[in-house]
Amino acid sequence: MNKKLYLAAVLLLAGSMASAQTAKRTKADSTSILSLDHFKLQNTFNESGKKPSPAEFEFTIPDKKPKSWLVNAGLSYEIDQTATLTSKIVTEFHLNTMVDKEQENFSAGYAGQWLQKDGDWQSLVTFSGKYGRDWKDSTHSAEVTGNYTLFKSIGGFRLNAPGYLANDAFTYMLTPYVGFEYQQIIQSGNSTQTGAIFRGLYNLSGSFAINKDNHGNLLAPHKLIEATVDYTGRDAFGNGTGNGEKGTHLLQTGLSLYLVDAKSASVALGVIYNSGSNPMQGLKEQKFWQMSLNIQLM
Amino acid sequence: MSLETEVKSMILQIADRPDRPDDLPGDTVLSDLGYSTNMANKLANELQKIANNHQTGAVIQPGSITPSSTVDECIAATS
Repeated sequence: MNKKLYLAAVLLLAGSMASAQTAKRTKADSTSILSLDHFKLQNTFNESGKKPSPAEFEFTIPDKKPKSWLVNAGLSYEIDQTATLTSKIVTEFHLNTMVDKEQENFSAGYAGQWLQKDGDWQSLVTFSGKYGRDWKDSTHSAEVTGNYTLFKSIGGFRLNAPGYLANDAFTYMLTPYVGFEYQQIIQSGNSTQTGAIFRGLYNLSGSFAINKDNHGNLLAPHKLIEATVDYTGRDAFGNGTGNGEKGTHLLQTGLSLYLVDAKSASVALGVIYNSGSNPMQGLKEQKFWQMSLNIQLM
Repeated sequence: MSLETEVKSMILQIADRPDRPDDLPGDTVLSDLGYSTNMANKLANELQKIANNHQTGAVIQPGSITPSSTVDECIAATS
């Protein structure tokens, strides 16, 4: 467990450094090689055009009962950006001992994003190649993923960009995508688990928020309450392992009540319902509720 | 339309905000208008077109417009 704690501590420390960067970024910062501006800390990088979810850290250390942990954190370092392509080194760690079927999964590698340069409807492709380690399944994997969606931020209907309705009374954001996952399980504690799995997937996700009165302000309205839905269907149509995986799904719905949503900080009380599995992240088929107080300093 | 007004109008259009460029202060940070990184990349591309149309000779460097850029920085990059 010690090495996992070190991993969580490193992610937490690096995240603190990343969030401590100044709000304004100068042109000089953006070209320096080791600028803190190149670091980002968020929940996961296995998403497409979504607004990044904040990283989660939670633990209890009782005197006589077992310790419990919740870490959902990903750290990226931007290595290059052209007019259309962004390249990053990414690492993710997911540890959850607070649920029925515990999760303990790590991955690290390269992730890229390609955004078509022109057009009202722009293609948005995200892709990655990573090493994956799952302690619960005792597996080592090589993982390749690719997602495709459209990006539209000009005109009435918007996709992967926030839109506002009824004089800023409501905010909506639609973030669907399709994609694939190729997982080559190189080594496993169970020899029948080794082999390749090829999954096709589709994601239907979005958010809808009721806003505070914006009084005709040009700035984006502050949210009062926000509902999110995120459904991913996966079909393992090529499975050369003996684990029997076929179709899986993952439904995550959330409701956030914004207690403070100011220019400098936001505080939200959130509840999430999770049903299903995410094989690549080592999340086993299960249902659970999760409540949290989310604090974000700008 | 002046270059400054055109840049402000484009910033507001991508952010789905009302087209009132004269009311947009120069020190406004793009993230306060709801900008994401992809929206900032889209803006950088549109600013390059504005710079080309106005023949300013400006070249918008990839990654130089981010959600933490200000409106004044966008205008300066285009000029």
